[in-house]
Amino acid sequence: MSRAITADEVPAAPGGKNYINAEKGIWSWLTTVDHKRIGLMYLASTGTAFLIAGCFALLLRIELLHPKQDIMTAPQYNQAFTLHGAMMVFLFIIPGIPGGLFNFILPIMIGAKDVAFPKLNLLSLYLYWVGALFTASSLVSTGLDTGWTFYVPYSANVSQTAVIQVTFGAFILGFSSILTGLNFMVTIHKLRAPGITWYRLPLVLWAAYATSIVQILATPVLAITLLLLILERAFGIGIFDPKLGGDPVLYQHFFWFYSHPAVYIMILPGMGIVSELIAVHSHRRIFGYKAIAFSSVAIALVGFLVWGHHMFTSGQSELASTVFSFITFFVAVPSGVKVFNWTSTMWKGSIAWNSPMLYGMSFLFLFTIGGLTGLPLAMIGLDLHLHDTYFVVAHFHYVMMGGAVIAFIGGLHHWWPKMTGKMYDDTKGKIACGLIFIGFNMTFFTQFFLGSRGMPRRYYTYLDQFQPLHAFSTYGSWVLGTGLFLVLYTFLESLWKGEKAPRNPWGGRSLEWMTSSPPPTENFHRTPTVTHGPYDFPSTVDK
Amino acid sequence: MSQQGSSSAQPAAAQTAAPAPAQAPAEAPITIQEEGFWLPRAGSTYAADSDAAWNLNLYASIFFFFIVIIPMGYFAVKYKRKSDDEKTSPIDHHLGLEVFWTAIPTMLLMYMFWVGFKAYANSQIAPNDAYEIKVTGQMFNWTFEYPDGTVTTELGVPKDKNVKLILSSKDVIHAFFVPEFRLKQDVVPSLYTTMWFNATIEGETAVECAEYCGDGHSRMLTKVLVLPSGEKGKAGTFETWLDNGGMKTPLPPVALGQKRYTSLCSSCHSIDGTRIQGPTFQGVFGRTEKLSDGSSIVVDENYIRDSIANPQAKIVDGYPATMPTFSYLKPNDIDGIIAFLKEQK
Repeated sequence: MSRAITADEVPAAPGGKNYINAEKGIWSWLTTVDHKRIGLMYLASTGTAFLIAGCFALLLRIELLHPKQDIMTAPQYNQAFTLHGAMMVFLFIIPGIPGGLFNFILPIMIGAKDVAFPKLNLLSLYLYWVGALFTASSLVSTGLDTGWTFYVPYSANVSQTAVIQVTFGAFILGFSSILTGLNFMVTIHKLRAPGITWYRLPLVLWAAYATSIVQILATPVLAITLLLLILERAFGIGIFDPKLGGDPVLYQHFFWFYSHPAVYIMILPGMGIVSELIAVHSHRRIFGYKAIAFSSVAIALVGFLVWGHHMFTSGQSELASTVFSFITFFVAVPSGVKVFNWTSTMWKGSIAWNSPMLYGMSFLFLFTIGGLTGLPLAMIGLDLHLHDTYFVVAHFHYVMMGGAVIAFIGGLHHWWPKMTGKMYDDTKGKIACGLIFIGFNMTFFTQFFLGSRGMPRRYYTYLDQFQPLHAFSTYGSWVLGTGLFLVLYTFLESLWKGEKAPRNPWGGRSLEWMTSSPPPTENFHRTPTVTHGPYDFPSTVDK
Repeated sequence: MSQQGSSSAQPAAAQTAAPAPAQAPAEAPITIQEEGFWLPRAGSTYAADSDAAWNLNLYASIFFFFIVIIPMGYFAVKYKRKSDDEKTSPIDHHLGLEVFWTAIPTMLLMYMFWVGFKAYANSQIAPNDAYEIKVTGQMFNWTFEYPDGTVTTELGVPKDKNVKLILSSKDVIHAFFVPEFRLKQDVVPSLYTTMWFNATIEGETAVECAEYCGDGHSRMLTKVLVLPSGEKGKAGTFETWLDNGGMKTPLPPVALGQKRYTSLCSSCHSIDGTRIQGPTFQGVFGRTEKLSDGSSIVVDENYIRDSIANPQAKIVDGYPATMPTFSYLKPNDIDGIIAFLKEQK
């Protein structure tokens, strides 16, 4: 690998034109095919979904402050936790990082003008909006109370709520996800600038590639499953409902065949972002580039073979449970390899204590806990106790929020100057990160105790003995909420009065830092040629 | 924290002027006995297997957590950036390390799988001599049927005996979860699932529904009563309890009714005026109810009996027709419920 450092910097565009001010008016945004503008619209849309679903979470925690009914009735609580989960999963985490961040950075990082299919990219966004409208329409009609998993027979013939609307929304959102994955995969294959070999791809793009594999291969199964559920509910065609001769456990197999790989659609992008955060803010070559790159692909592939670990107590055969448990442990290996390599990357680095790096370290801390607490759930015998308790709730929040969402927010801090051309107040950024870290651990570490002591999920009233832990968790949610609102404030303040961002505020070496902030519409005035790896920092001393 | 229990356990006696007929002592609230820092009391032989797996996992997790986090914290402080032109290490891979931190965890993970699998195998293969009890889950209560035909709403089991549950659901998926036994099994319509255990501690512990089943999910609770096994007729034994139809001693009507109310009715009918799924039982006896067909009816003994036997026939206006049939209730149970409802003024 060449150690030569050639800055392929583009001159600033004439007249200060960039992708934001190149064209004016709402119509220019709605009809744009610019991946950067589409990315920003994704960020705004998924951010709104996060805000609404997050407010549901705060309300849920208030209800759980006391063992008896406080502010919500049972149906209201059930709708709130269902919409919290469904919106977070389908409208925020799955589309958030790929649609928002990757859309923006992926073409720039490989020196391309846009994604391979720009119009298809806009179609993805429109499909997202249509799917989101269907999902959100439940808010103003009868709500939804099936849980985000839509388990039959409850969802098929008992629930009185808007099951068809929301599942149809998720069906449409699936197409948005498939098209985005397809677009990114083709873009990475075909549009890399001269000099960007596969091993010179920034690791975040390996993660994006692995994510795309899962999006393309798993999502159709969800689409089929939800369509079958819609047919069953609307026309009484017996597929899953035992009253009509169906099999409810079959539904769970279909559902988790998508929804377990979907966990990796959510976390792989986060892992990719963290590779960038840690390497760039340590000004150090990433440790174990190939190990990290291939572990992303390994996780994506092994992830297809473990869905049955959601069903150890479901009545599936003992043999199936045993095989799924065995394979599940192999997901832990590449995840562990990543964590060890990230930690090693900090060894003899030059570590900036700024907001993006603090999020990177928070991710390492929280994801390590999230990963390790997956092990007791993979041990079949122990899962019989922990399954469907708050232990599971805590575990997946450590992975989904402590992992994916923390990485997402960290990535936003990392690329914000590039996207907006504005710097933000790093002190406020760090305080917000600290509040989120403390609040998150207060909220969710407590839930490990709740779960292992026998508190089931999805209860709006509970045994008196769990009250102190539930109350502590609720107080934590207030700290967490404060931190998240401070992030929002910091970004809004940056837009309003932030300093102008330089081209390369962090000393990064990948291509997005070589163009102006914000970039021109075509990203680069001429196709750049790359002669170094994404982590060949000038600070690196050769042996 | 006040030990009021669920609202349904409020003593009815305080509200009545009638000479307090033999009221049953207030039911103890459903609880899980806490013991250690992490886990509840171990109440079954299986709990030992499960807790061994837990401990292995706990120590392995603490170890791996610290070997990641201590270096991270140390590097973050030691290599904190002091100037922008600091030099950093060029070492970007080490095959030996990669092999080491792939192979060692893999071996440990295989061992963890083995421990989890061994425990699981024990939990799934019931001994041949196990005493069989049929469990039915239904929105939102549990019923238990014993070999002699007795049906109860709390699960009584003999201590130190192998017990096998055969579980099924009448409507949606539920899950039968006994934290002190460390066991959980989904209860699925159209499928019999099984669970077996050997309870080791005399006393009571909680059963919770662990698979979301609708509006009454968090009230779908009952108790396991672990009773010493012995002769029929001997006070306090499982056999005597079974002979009394699921009670340690035969109860007077109001107390029996209260017991049946708590386990069967309270998830949908309050006694304090709160509207849940069905009409409140506060002041229900003698009340004139408007029915969904436009007629009205005075709530008397016969209306209560009809509503239990054929709940869809006369629905109070404005309420959903969702009440299940409780055909297994015996005449003295229904008399008890009527007596209890008369007390709800």
